[in-house]
Amino acid sequence: MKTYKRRSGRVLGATLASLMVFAVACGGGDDGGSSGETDTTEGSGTSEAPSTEAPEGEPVVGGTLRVGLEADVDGLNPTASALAISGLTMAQAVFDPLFTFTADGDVVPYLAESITPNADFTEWTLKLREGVTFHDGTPLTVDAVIKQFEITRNDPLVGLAVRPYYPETDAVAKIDDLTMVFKPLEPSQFFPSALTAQLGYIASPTWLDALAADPTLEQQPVGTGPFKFDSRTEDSVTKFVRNDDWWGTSVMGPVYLDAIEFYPVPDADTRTELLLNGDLDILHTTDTNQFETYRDDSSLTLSIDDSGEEYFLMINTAKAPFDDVRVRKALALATDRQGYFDLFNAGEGRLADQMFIPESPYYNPDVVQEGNDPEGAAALVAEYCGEDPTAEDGTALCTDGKVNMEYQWSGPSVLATRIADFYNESWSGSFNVTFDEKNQQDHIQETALGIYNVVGWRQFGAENPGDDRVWLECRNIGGISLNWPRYCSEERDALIKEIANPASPDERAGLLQQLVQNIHDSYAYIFMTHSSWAVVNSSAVHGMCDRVSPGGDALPCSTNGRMFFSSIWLS
Amino acid sequence: MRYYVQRVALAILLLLAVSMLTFGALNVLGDPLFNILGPVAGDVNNPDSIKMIEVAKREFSLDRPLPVRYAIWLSDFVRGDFGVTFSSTGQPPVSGVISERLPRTVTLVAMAQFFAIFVSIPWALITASRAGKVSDRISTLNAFFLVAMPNFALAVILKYVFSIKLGWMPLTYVADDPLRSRLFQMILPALTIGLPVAAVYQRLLRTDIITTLQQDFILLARTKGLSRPRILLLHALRPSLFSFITVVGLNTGALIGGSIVSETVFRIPGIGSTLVESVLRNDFPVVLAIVMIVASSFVVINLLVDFAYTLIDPRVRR
Amino acid sequence: MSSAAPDRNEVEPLIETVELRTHFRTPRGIARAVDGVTLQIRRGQSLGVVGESGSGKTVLSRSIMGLLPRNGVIREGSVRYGGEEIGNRTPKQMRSIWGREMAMVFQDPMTSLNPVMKVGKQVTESLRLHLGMSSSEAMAVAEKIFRDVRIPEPTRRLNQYPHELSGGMRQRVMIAIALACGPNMLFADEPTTALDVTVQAQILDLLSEQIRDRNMSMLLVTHNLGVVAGYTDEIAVMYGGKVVERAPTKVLFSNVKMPYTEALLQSIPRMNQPSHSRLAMIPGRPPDLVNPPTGCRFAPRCAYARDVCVREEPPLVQAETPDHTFACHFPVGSAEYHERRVELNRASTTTAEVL
Ligand SMILES: Nc1ncnc2c1ncn2[C@@H]1O[C@H](COP(=O)(O)OP(=O)(O)OP(=O)(O)O)[C@@H](O)[C@H]1O
Ligand SMILES: [Mg+2]
Repeated sequence: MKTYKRRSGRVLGATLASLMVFAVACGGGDDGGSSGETDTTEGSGTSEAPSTEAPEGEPVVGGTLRVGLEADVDGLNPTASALAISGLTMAQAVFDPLFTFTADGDVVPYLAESITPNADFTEWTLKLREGVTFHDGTPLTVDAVIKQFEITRNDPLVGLAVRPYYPETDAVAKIDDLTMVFKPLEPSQFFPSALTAQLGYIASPTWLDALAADPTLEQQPVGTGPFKFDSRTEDSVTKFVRNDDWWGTSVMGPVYLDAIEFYPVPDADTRTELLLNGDLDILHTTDTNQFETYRDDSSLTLSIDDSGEEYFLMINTAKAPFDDVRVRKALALATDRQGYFDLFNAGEGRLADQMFIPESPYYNPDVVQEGNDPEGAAALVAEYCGEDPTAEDGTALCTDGKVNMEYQWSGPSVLATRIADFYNESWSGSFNVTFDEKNQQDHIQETALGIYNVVGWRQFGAENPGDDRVWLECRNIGGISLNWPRYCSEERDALIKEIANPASPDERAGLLQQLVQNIHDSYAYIFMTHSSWAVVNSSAVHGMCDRVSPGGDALPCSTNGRMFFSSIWLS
Repeated sequence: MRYYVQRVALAILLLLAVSMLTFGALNVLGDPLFNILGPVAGDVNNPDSIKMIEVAKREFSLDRPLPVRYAIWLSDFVRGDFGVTFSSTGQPPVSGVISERLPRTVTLVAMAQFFAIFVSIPWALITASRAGKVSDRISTLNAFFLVAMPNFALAVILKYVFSIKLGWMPLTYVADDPLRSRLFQMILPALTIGLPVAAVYQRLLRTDIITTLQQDFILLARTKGLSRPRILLLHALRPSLFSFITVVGLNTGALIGGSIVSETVFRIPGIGSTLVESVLRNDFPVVLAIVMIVASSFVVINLLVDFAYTLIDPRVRR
Repeated sequence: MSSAAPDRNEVEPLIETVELRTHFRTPRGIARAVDGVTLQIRRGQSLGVVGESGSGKTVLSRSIMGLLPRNGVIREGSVRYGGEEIGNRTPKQMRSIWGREMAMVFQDPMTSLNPVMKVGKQVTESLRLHLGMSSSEAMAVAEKIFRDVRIPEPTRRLNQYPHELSGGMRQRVMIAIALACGPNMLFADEPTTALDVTVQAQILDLLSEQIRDRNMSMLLVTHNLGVVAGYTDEIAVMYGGKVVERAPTKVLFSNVKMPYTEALLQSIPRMNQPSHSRLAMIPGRPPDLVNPPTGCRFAPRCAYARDVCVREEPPLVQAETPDHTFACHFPVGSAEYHERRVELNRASTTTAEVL
């Protein structure tokens, strides 16, 4: 279940804000060890403060950092590759994003020097840093940014989530070598957050041209980052070495590591063993079963972050019987959330009521995810079934006073099947559940095309919460819907637009809280848990939290499993 | 000579049949479009998606009838062009995937075969010379244990004992390490698939040696005053190797099968793990290429086995 | 042949067994394959051991040589080689004797040579082991022995595999192997039965010639009395695991005592007869070795047997001829024997007339 995933869930898309990757909890286990799919996350709400190493002497130059990743990537091409957490972690060593999130959750320039919106936030003028060169010697100009934008937008997969947010022509315009304009379809105060990850990783245009002729080159990325590509063997090891000409050295301090080696190790136990054996220096994991092991070992530093994605059950609201909100609500009421948490979470993490953790300024304390109320569910179902509903093709939607439904997951997977059994048990009082185990491709396909009732899913991890709009807006319902539940609410779309508009932080928080309420009231999602990412490092690893932006803002030590290397040194 | 011409012709026919079956089965059972286009492949009501689907079909020749596609594939294949992978870019070329990964699997299987042979021969000699004694019975139990245990269980046990508890062996394979370390890293994976096979070889060889030991020429060797080990090694072993060699040849298939598990557990990017991935992704060209390589090596090995008979038994030489 | 030995009592026997018993544990019970055999072979002498199939000849020779497995085998009595007791030695201790002091030629040269080893190597093996020769020295010696046993083109033959040689040639190779280290004692277990009739005599001639030239002793096992006639000094006749008659060859042929021996003599295949007439078989079956008949073991099949034969086992007694012993109550030539003989003749004539 963990091993063969790497190539399966292919990229679907990028939003205005950040490129998103299919978030398929491997059959539904949110923390039990799925791999290789998420997106960028919010830097502001780490639930356990990453233990910053006390300054232990002066940083030293040298050494190779060995990083354990949960998966390998297909390629490191920001315009086409599926960059999940592992991919983003690798990418940020070779590429520099145009912008980045600070530890406080603000977006600040990184490879860009500045960005200035016009008065109504519909045109953004970007200025690049001067004198930056790519690893292949190509100088950085806006031509690179424009080329990359166009290639990305035209990619059949990645472009899916870019296209809806830009006009077909004149989305970008060059002013001079270092200045350009972005013209998104709609005004957005938070536009730069779109350029903090995959869409913002600027690759050498020379390399992108070469890539068109020889796509195998996507294994050998060329960026401007603190490290340069050295060698790569897929599914085994990827090595980057220090870029001694990195532009960031003069503004953000030296790069200490001689090299980084990335080892994709999908099996979480093995990854842990490698770390304990000293074969790795740092790793990330979502396997909560391992957290205790890390805590027990005093030589390891563990930081857990659950501010990112949530694991939830997702309901197709476009298809009977779940087109009726009573049935959706009944399913939520019937769900034994507490039981799930007790059984599958190994005492780690926490139950989720909404897409934000309680520490988040956007958390809406009034929104509580219902559950564990079988009587309530039964009452709703009795009412619904009492109306003798039938589907369009005439088949009865209820049998014996219970609603007929299908639960779909991707398999084969032992854990996913256990979870399905568990749900069935709590639902069976009011629902006749049919199991539908699909291979992962078909699972994704059917979810995207709306051929499902209920699936387990992971999502809502954008660092800028407004960027999760791609999953929520009416415009993303269609043949392939990124709005998987196919729930369209004008009110919600209006809210989302407003959130993108300039506002004071308090206003913004209020709007997001309204959004949370709206999402809850749709009963399209049954929130289960906040997914936890852990980053674990040995005592030889220092300086993770010493990263600063070119402007001097403190940057997060790690973000939902994503690791950054420009400030790390080894003792 | 004529015999070998016939054998080779038969082998080619066999490979053709295998390729046809595989080609047919893959195309009937799966739809590769998803791997190329993602969910777009199923979005058949959207004109944009339809356009993309059509382009992809043309690009990957999926719009042609099956026999035509087979013919195209075959003519490319015999010219050493294994085609393109069914991914959005059609990259990397299958031959690239194979040439990068095949050597690792070949090394793994060869090492496993080496272990299997060089564990089973002394083991069989010792147990055959003590047939029926306690040590022989214990060894029989061990052999059954090894044969009965699933490969992945053995992998996990070996890994736990030798890598985690004792720390003698590395946990995983690292493709960029120097050759010597890589060979070292392959020992446990090779043992994982080699040991059960060694047990099979041992059972077989032990029986054959026991039979040989009852031959008159063994008694003659004894009357010469030769020591027991000498008799076992110089007189009993070689004439006992016939079925052993046959089974060594046939078991190459089992070893390649085992390599799938072993490569997965020990993180060796070989063709075994690639095969599984490709099957799951409906990446037919890769699957086909691997199936053909495995089938060809199987055929070649069994031809070699034929040849090995003549090395062992002068009576078969012509 | 060389019965011209001097005073026999002066020469110490090379091989001597006293009451040698070799029993096998079988599921049915204990099979007494060799049941109290006492014999001597002097240096330079040949002893022929004759008997029907299953009479224990092979077991006897292997038991003397110590070749039998130890599991399930009960071996009692004494075996002395050159005056030294070797009956209780382990195979490991015997190894220095095997090949060097004693050697064996087997019945079937097809199965007794290692099919996958060049014959040269099979000959030189013991030379290198026992005499510490280098391989080239050993090859030279092997070539000489090949010449001795009259293998044509010895140099080429040394490099051949057994299957490339004819049966007679293979038996010569076997003999060469046996002779290689110049042993004192040769066991030849039916060395010619598997061979073409025309080759049999050649092999036996060769054997006896080599025995004579090298002053070796030989125990020649056969179920064909005709074979031993020309090639041995003495003959021991076995029946049901026991030696029932023993005499110098010439004496035996001129003065048979046991009706069993007499029957064996009558079953000698004549060289000039077609081979299917080979065995004028003795009627009845050989004795069951697990539950042997009481009294004389041959009695149930003996035309001359009387009540006493079934009751009492006849002791081994001295015949009037020298060195001749036998175990029979009514030996050939006795009055009872003649009496029965006449009756039998009459009966057979009657039968013939009836027919
Ligand atoms: N290992 C054994 N276990 C049990 N019985 C045995 C064993 N070896 C020989 N015998 C029995 O001992 C008896 C004598 O066998 P042996 O081979 O000595 O006969 P033989 O006189 O050499 O006969 P042949 O002329 O057929 O070679 C036979 O009845 C045989 O069944
Ligand atoms: Mg015999």
